[in-house]
Amino acid sequence: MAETSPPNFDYSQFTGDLYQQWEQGMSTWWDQVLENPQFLKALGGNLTMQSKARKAYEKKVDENLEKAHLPTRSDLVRVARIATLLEDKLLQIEDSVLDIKDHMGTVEKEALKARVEAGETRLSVDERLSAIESKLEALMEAVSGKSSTASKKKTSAKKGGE
Amino acid sequence: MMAELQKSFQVARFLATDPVASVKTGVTPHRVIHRQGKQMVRYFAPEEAKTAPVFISMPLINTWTIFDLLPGRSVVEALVAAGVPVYLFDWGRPSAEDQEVRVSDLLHGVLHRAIDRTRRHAAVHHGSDTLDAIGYCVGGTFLTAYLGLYPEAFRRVALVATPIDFHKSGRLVAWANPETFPLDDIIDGHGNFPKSLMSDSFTWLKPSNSTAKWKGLWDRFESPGFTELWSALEQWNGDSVDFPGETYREYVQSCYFDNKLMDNSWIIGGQRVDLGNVKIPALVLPASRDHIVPPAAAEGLAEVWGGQVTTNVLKGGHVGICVGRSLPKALIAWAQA
Repeated sequence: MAETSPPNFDYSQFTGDLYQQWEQGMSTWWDQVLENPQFLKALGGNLTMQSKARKAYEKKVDENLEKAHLPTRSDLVRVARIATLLEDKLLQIEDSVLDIKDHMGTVEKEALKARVEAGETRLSVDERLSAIESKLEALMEAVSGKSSTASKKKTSAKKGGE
Repeated sequence: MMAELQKSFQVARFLATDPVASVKTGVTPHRVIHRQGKQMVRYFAPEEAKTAPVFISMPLINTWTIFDLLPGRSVVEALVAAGVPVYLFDWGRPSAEDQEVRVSDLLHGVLHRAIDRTRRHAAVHHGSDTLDAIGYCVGGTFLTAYLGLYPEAFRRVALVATPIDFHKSGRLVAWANPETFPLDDIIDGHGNFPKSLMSDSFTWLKPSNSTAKWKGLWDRFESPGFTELWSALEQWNGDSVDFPGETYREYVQSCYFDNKLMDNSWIIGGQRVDLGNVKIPALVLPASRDHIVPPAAAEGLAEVWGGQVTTNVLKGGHVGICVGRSLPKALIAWAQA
């Protein structure tokens, strides 16, 4: 009789397969339950009750604290909300300051541009003036040169006549 | 059998150390550059900026750390390493005094101001006030609505697992039914929408996830870094935040009940949200196995958006994509383009 070796049992594989089968079955079941309109309606009703109970509880706690002359949850929320609104106001002021800064920046840039343009205009006017000046000087020189030659000519003509 | 027994002792020993409480999330260095109440802008500076800065709008229902869960598992860390300056908008943890805050207050007031301060900061530190935007989940929905009000606020936008066509939101549509969901009673009774209810809703959305996480821990217990990731995700999952009551009422009515983003009929602060007016390019990044925001709900943007829409479905679930490699890769490629 031939000796048979015991099957090599893979425990991990076995549990893995078992899990997969279970998971598939459960998913199918959950899919049916979690999209069932009746279940969702019941769940919604439960949530409504829970939310109303929570509101009633908060109200009761506030009433008791008020009776004990202690700050209630609503008081604390109100104070926190005021702090939030204050912060918002501060940020609105910061917005305005930044807008003014932006505007100032634009004005500054425009002013700088205007100054540069004015400077450039002045330079070109200066250049044009000096050009006119040099032209005038040249003209003056030419005029004075002509008159001196004319007087020289006159003198030499006089001398020749004598 | 002995090996399994040994492993079960190891797992038990691991759980006994309370790993969920001790794991540190959100550790990428950053500083807060603007704060309004509980909301703030967190600035993550790269060593050398190589792209335009991005403004990230996180969801209002959980903490921002899902985008910076662990080193090597962080969207923000990957973006910063690629030279993207990141400004992350954290909606904070609302409490009782915030229950009357409306969507209009958040968009026209808080978010608008946060974007303004970010723009100013970017102009000083990066030489340009041009911003790109990223929105994740509900944070993306609010960012989209904001763009409907201020169409030129950003150069372009990437929306990660962001619901737009809410009537394609799978099981959540069946639940958010005005006939069965007592929205007004909940808000009137609790003030804010309680985090416990939010957390329970997500658990019941896919109940098998509650057991699958334990199986995942068992199966991958020996994988390097897995226990830390598992602990961090557990911590994040258990750290829901309250949703401001009036904002929640308006959000559920306008989006889940009436699907107003799809017909441009959502009026916020007297102004109509018209997505057809938004001409900037949008990148839509849904997650293939997302049971909270199925791809169809995110892809609805293409039907109403005025600009070019590109869609790239990422492999993974709603949360899984945030800790995987594909999302940072897609966002970096988008930021660098």
